[in-house]
Amino acid sequence: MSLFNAALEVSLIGMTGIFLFMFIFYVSIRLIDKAFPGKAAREE
Amino acid sequence: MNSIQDLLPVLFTITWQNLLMIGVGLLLIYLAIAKEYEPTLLLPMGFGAILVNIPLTSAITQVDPETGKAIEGALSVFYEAGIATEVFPLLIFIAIGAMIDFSPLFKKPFLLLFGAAAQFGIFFTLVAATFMGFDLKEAASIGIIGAADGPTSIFVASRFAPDLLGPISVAAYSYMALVPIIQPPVIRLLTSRKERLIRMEAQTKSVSKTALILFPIVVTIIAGVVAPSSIALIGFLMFGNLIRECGVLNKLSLSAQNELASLVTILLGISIASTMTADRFVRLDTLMIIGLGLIAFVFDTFGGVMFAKLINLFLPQGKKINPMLGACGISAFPMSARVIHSMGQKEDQFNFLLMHAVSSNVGGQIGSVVAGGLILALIPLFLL
Repeated sequence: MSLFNAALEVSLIGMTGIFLFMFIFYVSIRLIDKAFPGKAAREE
Repeated sequence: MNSIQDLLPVLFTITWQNLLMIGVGLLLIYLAIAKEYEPTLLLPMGFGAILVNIPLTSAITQVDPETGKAIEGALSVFYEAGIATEVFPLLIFIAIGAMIDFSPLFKKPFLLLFGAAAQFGIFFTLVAATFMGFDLKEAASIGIIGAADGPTSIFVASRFAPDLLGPISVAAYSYMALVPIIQPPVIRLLTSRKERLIRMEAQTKSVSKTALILFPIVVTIIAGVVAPSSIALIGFLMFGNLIRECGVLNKLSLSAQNELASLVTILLGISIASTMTADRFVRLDTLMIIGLGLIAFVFDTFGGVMFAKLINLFLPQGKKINPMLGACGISAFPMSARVIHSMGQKEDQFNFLLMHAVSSNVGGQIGSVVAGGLILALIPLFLL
């Protein structure tokens, strides 16, 4: 595998991985926030 | 004549490369003091550069020409103990974790995704660096300058390209300080005035303490399960944050934010300087790294803004996101958020983007660490 191909592959997997991670964190935040809402949300 | 040479051997052994590096050290000190460009790191690094470029210096390990034995220098000892072992960057992560307030993310969690998009510069630069002749490990270490996160850059570079640690650190911290100069022209180039005028709904939501305590724990477990090699980076950051949010360790939290951060920053800066010797720094590679670092920051901004514009294609009128918020998905906190807020106010003084920009910027702090962890996990797989 050429160096350029390897770099390209690392980049594609890397960017996909970051979006995947951030999406999982996003879902986690939504779930945590739903399970333990803040004061204002509880009053509503 | 011989006696003067014996008395002041430095005057007879100093090279133009040493003098150039002493000049670089003085420049870093000037930028730190006069321009206040990341002074906490650039000043120790600048002074360290002077220390290690005076011939026969006792600050770094030297071989005694008479006995052939190595005489250990303090900076080399600090480097081996703190940087080669990755201890200093990890301790800094505890301090940074204790300083970060993740509550803005709970108010607008969607903005977390900008923290992913704005890491684009890392990977664009990684590919560009391989074009310029760097191997994969070196290219990854250079690309990570685009994380806009000093400790992550140091952590990755110390593992993959310790010889390039000096120029990578100088580039990372210099460009972080130059965010207010680098980002605005790129954003203006990519957005129309109409887009920059987009207003965002105010964030008024409150966040529970339990949620803020659970967040660092959950993130650490997820990161550990998905990419175990990223756990040191993310885990130490989240450990610092847990100390902050738990509410029973206020004294430790304050110590981490102040004393720990200050002490380790001094040691980190001056230890990195031990790699800034003329033979390692005065090379064409250094200029290429400085240039690639700028490319990384420009394409981070590009990635964030373009992602916001892409999202806007699917959002109805009135719900669209100000695309400038994408640009502060980098880790330079809170500078990038402030830059975007003031750009928004220049266009419309009643447009308050600060809280949204902070959310995106906090997402960038997580994104940069995740990017570092992923690079650490991925590169070895491609070296087999």
